[in-house]
Amino acid sequence: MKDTSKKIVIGIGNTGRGDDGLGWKFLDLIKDKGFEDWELVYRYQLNVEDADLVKEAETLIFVDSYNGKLAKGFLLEECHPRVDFEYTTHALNPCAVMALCNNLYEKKPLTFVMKIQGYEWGLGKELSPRAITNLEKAVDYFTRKYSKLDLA
Amino acid sequence: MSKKITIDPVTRVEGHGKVTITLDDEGKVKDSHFHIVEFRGFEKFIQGHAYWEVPMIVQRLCGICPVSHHLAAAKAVDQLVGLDPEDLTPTATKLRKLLHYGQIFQSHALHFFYLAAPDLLFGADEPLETRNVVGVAMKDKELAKRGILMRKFGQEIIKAVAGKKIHGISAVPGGVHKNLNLQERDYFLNGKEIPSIDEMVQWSVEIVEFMKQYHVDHRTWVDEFASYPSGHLGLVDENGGMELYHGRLRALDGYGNVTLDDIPDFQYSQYFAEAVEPWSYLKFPYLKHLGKEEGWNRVGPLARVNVCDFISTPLAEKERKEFSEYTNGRPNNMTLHTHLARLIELLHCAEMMRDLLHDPDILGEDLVLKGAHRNEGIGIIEAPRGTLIHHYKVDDYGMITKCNLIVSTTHNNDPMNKAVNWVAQHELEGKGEITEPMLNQVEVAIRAYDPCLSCATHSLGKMPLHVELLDNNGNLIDERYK
Repeated sequence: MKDTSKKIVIGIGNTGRGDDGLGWKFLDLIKDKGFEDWELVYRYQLNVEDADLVKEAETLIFVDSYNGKLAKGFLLEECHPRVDFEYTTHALNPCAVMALCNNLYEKKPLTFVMKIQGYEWGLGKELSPRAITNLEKAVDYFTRKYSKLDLA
Repeated sequence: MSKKITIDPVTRVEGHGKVTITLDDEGKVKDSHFHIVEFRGFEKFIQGHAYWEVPMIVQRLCGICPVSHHLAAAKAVDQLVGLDPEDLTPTATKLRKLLHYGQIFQSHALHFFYLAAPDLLFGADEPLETRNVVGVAMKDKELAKRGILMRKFGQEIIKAVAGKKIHGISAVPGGVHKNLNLQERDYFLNGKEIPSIDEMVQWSVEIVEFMKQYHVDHRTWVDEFASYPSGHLGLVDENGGMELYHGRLRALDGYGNVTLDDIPDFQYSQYFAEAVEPWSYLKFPYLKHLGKEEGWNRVGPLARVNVCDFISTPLAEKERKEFSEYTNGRPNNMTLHTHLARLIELLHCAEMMRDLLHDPDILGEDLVLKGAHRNEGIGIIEAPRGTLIHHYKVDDYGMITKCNLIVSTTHNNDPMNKAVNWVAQHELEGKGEITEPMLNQVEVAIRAYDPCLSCATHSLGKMPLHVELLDNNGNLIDERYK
């Protein structure tokens, strides 16, 4: 029988675009924090074929930078399949990917989106100091919630 | 009252462009333009870099066809280290070709299933909310699943050869930096983890049949929509066969007369010039001896199938013959036939990948050669969207002093503008109200060319579409953004 206990974290962004790199940096930071049995996936953007990737997952987390205000600097919220029109089909949002997955493969993994607030989006920049603070808080929250390590 | 229509952004294309259509007082089309509104400076900022950096840097022109830029630049850089394309080892050449066919295969699959299929399955009148790839998935699950898996197969080929799916590295000056091992090769042959290459060939045959049946069912629209005579340009091999990696440049006019007679790639600059217009960052290449008004050419699948005498793989050749017979052997100028031509190439690439995956040379160890330094290199390949030209000059220290890029979508600039004008005249002229489905017809015509506007202007950024409607005095009457 096929293993359906797969857990995936997909970091979305571009480390050459300032705080847009938060999704990838998040993956870099959790690598050694008890997520060895999670598949960590780096994406510039989500595409249609990602519906095929996530169909095997039981738990799925999308991590992306957020260009808006978040009270704690980050937010983990559940993502439900939702058909959502975009002007391009090369950059889907997480809920649209899940809608495709559900429609094509009749799979609906438990899915969350981790939003991390960013501030600066220029070419070739490092993360801004405030984004780094938000990233650290998001990683801390996430590892406490999901890591197999004893963090007590 | 006269008016100007603006479509901004053009959707389901790569990059950012807009369309403006100006109608006169009687509602007739006075003028129309497909504007490319991105700007970039790759040709300039590549100067001063070391030659060996170029195949890596120029990949950043595009996230869709980085392999094409990587290989065109690599072919030019080979010459800078003293090697012509035929000098490379069989292993290096065949691995580069495998990478190239994988790239075209995934790009053509992406275009057909994700970008074109919504128009074909639903028609231009379908509500915008369902006329997209998610709508395709809802309407035809099996078609959507195959689209996903075919694109994935091409991307996996790219990953195996170049290390990753986007912006990987395979080619180095004089060859490639790694071969495939048995495990990597068998991944594509045994069908255990992904559908096998044999399935890709079979699925390609079936999707060609799908498009042929679509043509039968929608013959008038497919034959007449945005149909106009044009030049056609592409590479052919020494026997006149379709060639996607390395060959000679051939062009025909819209009636089959030869306008460029199999010239070697290094002579391109003797025959081509580029014009500019104030309303677009995209240049307009043309054949010098025919002049700007007559010397423009379509490039890409339709042009390539038109200019070649045959295709080397049997299944694709069977389809090419049938395709050619439809126009009695003369060039096919029907824009929507580009979709079928693209799928014939998809099939050809699948067959070529199958042949290469069974070729022991791709497992070889002889990867790189070196020669004597030269100061100039020209690399021309057929990218998914058409003829792609990279031209570099270096100083005696190997630093780039000049770079000229003519990318596929640039060649198609004039043809796309002709297509927009055709739609404006046939679909919008004299209509009291401009509706979204009518405007989508403009996009359908542009989309057939699968333009990559980011590549064409060598810039960074998104590519939405903006359409403007102007009155006779240039005042904005209506506009739409997507």
